[in-house]
Amino acid sequence: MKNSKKKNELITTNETETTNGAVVQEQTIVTDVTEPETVEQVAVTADEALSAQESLQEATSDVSPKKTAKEKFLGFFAAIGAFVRKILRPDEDETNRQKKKKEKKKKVKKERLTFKQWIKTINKENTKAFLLGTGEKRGFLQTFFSYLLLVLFGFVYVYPMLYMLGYSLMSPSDVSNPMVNYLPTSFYFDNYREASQVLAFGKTLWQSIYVSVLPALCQTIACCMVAYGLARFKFPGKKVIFGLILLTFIVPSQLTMLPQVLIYTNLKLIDTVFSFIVPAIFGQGIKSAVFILIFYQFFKGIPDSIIEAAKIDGANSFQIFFKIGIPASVPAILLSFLLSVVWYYNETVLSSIYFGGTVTTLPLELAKFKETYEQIFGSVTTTGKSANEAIYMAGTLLSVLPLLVMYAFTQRFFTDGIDKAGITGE
Amino acid sequence: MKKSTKNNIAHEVADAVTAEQTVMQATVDAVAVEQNEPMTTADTPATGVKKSNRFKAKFKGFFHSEAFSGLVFILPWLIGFAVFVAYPIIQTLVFSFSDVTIRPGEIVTEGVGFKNYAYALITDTAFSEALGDYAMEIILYVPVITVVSLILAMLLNSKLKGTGFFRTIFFLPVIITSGPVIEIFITQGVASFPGIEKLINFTELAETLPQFLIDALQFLTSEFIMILWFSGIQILVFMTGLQKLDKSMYEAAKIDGATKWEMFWKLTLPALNPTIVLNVVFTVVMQSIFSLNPIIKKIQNDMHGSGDGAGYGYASAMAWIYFIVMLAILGVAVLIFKKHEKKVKKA
Repeated sequence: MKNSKKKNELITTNETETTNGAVVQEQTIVTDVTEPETVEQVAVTADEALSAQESLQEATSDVSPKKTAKEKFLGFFAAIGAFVRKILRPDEDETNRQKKKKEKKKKVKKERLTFKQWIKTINKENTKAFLLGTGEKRGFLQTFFSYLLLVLFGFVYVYPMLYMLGYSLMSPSDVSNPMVNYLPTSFYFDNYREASQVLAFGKTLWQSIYVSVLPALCQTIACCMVAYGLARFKFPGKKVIFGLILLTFIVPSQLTMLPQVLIYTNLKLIDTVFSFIVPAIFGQGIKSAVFILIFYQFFKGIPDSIIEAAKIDGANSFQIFFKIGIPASVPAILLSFLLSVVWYYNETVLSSIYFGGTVTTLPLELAKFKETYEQIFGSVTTTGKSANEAIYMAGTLLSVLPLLVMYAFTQRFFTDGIDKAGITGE
Repeated sequence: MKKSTKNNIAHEVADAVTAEQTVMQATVDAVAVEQNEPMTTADTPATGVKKSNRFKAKFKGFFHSEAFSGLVFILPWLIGFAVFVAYPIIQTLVFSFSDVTIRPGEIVTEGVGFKNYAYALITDTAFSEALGDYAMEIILYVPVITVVSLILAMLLNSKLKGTGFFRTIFFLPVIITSGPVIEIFITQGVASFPGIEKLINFTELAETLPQFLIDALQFLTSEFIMILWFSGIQILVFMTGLQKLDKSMYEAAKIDGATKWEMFWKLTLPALNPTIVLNVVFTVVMQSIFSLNPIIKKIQNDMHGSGDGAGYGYASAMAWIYFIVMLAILGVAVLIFKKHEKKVKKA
């Protein structure tokens, strides 16, 4: 890079400082940023001091009773905002956030080159460096192909979703028209009306939610406890128990399903949510082994010294579990609970057998979509109406809608949680 | 491998030793109590009191031991395992060797030997077909999912901007994948891109390639997207695996003049071997319990009813055959990678 700088000395010195071709440009930006940083830092600290003063003033004004209703009102919302932010980003404190905001504002704007100057800076070496990368830096071609692959795969992943969205809004004439593909000519919402009628959306949604949330809650608590016991205590036969946990993961539910049905029938749990909840309480819910392993990794990560210190202070095992174990494993708890909700929600084999139709979920209703549709609206032979592709797609979208909404708010817990849990199982 | 088993044994021994120590401690306590006893209650030489005291001391020692606390935490799982897993598995085994009739309040089993197994494997062609379909599905799914998720994990792990967004997209299918949803996608033809089948001329290929390869290709192209949809968790597992790799190794390789290609084959892949095994096992198990699996459908259909090829007894036999086939596939998959691991260690 230094070479290219020398070569470009023909251009006036004034220009070389800020304008030096594609590769050099970045370097100048770097220096641009680093130089004023010290100044900025001073400014930031000064600002902090100011803001601290301000907050002090605020605090004192809080004490004084002369607070208008409007201020109170605004303060209420500010408190809610701070609370939500704390939940979403627990590792980021208030001053940090303000700093970031200020940094964003103060980012130096780079000066633009004219096209002529830019052309002059191109030479063989920096072109090669730009395309293939130099040492540490990634070349343009590599970046380009990485993004190309990501976008291609991303499109493949999202294609069914986009297709579903597009088709669910098509009117019957759009569906039968071979010229209309993917995008509807106009938005047609009757599909959703009919599909929600077929799924009995309101009632089924409510049942789906409690059928998935209650067992997930029990499962998370149970798995958390079992994993803590395995990770933090020494006792004979631990290896055997690990083997058995793996066995429960591998054994297909078909092998245990039939006797379980008989057990639940005897206990009068069949056809109720309890046929999901009771095994979950005993750590035998759907894919419990996965959750136990996630928690196990987390609890293993707690330093022994903390627990020793708690013991010396006279805490018993349960106090240590509640005061140290649980707070330390919050990401794992969130991840397990959410994954558990998803897996219980999407389960259809077991729920169709255990619930026997008295309790139903959206996926179960979707499975018999065609039959229900014909019951309500009649079939081609009787009324000439049939469930076309658009209605199927609307039904499918409605049945996954609760999960999509949940994912929109919690996706960061999913991906971060797995990162932190590190279920690479040594 | 051997080392690790040795280690395990060592661990177990250590565990046993500590357990013994706690027991010893308890007995020592008990002895101490015993020795103290005669000093204070020398006037009453009732052995019954002594015994109960010793028992109490022992009991106390156990209550305060680590093993007891651990047991309390694990107890619910142990009960659950006995009631909801161990007992049902054994009962299914019994069922599979008998004709089962269920009357209100009682279950009548009548031993029939291997009749159910023989019927499933020899007479019932639908079952053996489903078993074949399942095996082929697994053999195709596992390599495709493993390779794709490794590529995507490496892409997401490179320091590109906007990988968070792509990570969200690649994990999305995990959230919404359920049997009925996938079934509707497949029947409506969204499981693959329209026209992808036209790209490959199957009739021409049929002249040169054997039939099972053609079948496999056709299957892959027809459910291409859905296969990718099953790799959300595997991608994340690979990403954590990649992040744990030792970076100094790569620097050393770079100094020695290794290219990125060589580094991938000689450093990344061997180091990722345990992660790959984990992902393969996970994929096999997840596919085996997915509700669209042909065998699961068959078992569910034949569960009710009576006579040959129906009822609880027959369904149990099919479940056991299915489990054994699944174990065999898992065993083969794990063996392949373990062998590779040994080779790497030798070299």
